Amino acid sequence: MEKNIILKNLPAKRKKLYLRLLGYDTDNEGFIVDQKQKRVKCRYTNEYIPFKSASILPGTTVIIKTSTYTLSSYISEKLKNEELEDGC
Amino acid sequence: MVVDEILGLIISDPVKALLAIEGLKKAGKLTKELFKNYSSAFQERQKFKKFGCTPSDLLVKKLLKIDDTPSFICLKAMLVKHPTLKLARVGLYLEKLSIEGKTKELHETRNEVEYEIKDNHGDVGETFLNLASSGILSDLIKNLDNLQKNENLTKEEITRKYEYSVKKLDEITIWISNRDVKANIYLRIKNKLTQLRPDIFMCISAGNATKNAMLVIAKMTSRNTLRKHGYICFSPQISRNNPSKKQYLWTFYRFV
Repeated sequence: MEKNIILKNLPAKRKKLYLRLLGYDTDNEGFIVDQKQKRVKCRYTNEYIPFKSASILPGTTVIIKTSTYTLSSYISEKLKNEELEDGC
Repeated sequence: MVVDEILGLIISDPVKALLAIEGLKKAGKLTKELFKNYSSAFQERQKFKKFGCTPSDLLVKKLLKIDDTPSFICLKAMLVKHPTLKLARVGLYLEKLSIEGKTKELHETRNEVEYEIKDNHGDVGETFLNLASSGILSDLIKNLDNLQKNENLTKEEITRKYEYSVKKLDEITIWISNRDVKANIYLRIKNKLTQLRPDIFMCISAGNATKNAMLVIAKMTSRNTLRKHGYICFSPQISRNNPSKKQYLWTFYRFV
């Protein structure tokens, strides 16, 4: 089976490298920034995204802030009829 | 490891690929061009994947399980694509934590979502948090489901009642406490029947307060007071949403 990246299993340094490869970085306050060093906002809460709670949406390189509310919003929006694979 | 091998690993074993890229970086061999190639490969891979990456994969699964609960299935069937379904999912999740007695997790989750929900949904969001904290969200859904079945209401009609209940929760809820004597309970319910006359209202009691509430409502039903004022009330929903005591919820519906 094809392997997947599990963010919680990655040490911070490796997670940072992964996010950089996806076109992001973190600023000196620990928030996610884009390639222009502009802070990225979560599409569901409109808040800046702390590095620790960054999630990447399936099929995209979009980053959201992870919380019960944002994940519920995502499920409502997209996952209704889609399969959620193990180790997401 | 050669460069092409890493590109292959990005598809087959991305964690190993990350390790290899990290190794190149440490050895000072990660050129800008290589980084750009790997970056493109990772981004392409991500775009073709059904699954995302989250530090809380368990939470996603727990939330998806809420979609399989009778309350959520019922609500979804009643309302179809309603914008508050995502709030209901969070509410039912909080309620589940409360039933399971997971107090610490409950408080942490509530604190985490409180600001987000209030900020994005205002009063309606706050209502869902209150419904979940009081453990009456699933009871309210059950009652609305009963009403829809018993009165043969259309989806539009039941959706209006649901929206009304959510919007006016404070106005339509009578909390019965241990201090409420029968006469007081009677007057509070009578006030709703005759003065305020909402489409729907609820009476909630727990523990010792239930006996008085039960007696008053039974008396009002047997004396036909409710029907006389155009209201019906089905048997109460009894739940243990608060692990320490049973909670009773009566819902009164106006039919004229």
